[in-house]
Amino acid sequence: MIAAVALPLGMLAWREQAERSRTLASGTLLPQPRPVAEFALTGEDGKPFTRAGLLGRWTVIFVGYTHCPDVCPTTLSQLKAAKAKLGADGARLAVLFVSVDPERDTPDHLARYVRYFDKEFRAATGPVDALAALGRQLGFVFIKNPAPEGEGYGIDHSAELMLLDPEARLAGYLTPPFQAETLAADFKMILEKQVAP
Amino acid sequence: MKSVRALCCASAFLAAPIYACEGLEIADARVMESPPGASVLAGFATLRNGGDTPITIRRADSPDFSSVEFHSLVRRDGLIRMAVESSLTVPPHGMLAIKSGERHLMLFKPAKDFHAGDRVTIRLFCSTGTREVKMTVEKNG
Ligand SMILES: [Cu+2]
Repeated sequence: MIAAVALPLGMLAWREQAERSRTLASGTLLPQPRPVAEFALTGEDGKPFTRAGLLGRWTVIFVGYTHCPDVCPTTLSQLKAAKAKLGADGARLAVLFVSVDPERDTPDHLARYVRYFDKEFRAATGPVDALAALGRQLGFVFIKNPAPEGEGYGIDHSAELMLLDPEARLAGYLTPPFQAETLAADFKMILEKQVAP
Repeated sequence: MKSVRALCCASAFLAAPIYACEGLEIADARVMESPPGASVLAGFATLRNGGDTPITIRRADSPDFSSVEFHSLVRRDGLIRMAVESSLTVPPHGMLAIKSGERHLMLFKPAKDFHAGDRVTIRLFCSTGTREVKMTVEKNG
């Protein structure tokens, strides 16, 4: 009898706790989602990519550049795997790769790059000023890092994933290291609005 | 045809004596397949040193890439940075993991698009000579 009562109460307490702290397995949801102002980037299709491109679906944003041999492809592979685990619900989650290397990452190049991982993935880039302004809104940073001994240059960049809700508001962050399973669980939770705003 | 092949292998053998990098064992040598047209690929491997003295790999090159560098990943202030390392050292009776998220062989300008199952050749230069490593291209994830 006691056990039968304790279980629902415990579950209730857990739900309240989850809603209060707004935590995810691999990140945090903001207490209050933050609206994102208009921005002007170019999509992998060569067309303008603006705030409107974020409306109507949850979006997970990853910042990087295609000349990044490890972190970027690994993260995109994990996102593909996590999305696949969502089954049909995966269609309700958009993945956007924001390149902070407009000098080398042309729309054509970006299109080939993200489609290699998933046909549905999108990519965008734009002038450094526009990227920096979006970074201030979303909380990502990047620094060009010339390699005097090496070839070309690298770009130091934030490794978090940013979550935007269907109203194009910044809703939270996921922090590395990532695993497809935990990412999928977090995405599922968000899509089911169990703790989402 | 057969004699040409034998000649090629004999000279390769002479160029890479078996005592080169003595004590060095290389496992899980692999390169991650990348999107077509990728300008850099990442190579990974586990290096073990069965000997009593450290093994230092001072540089690497490859017939399949324009150049090879040793890179480590540094996470600081929420940023990920790639740093060039001038050499790799495997401690005596120890190991050095060249693994995703920590360090990689940075492989610049592939001679062609490599696909899962292809093999690429990397040469490691130690104080005692050159060790040739075949790395298998694998799908990411
Ligand atoms: Cu690198």
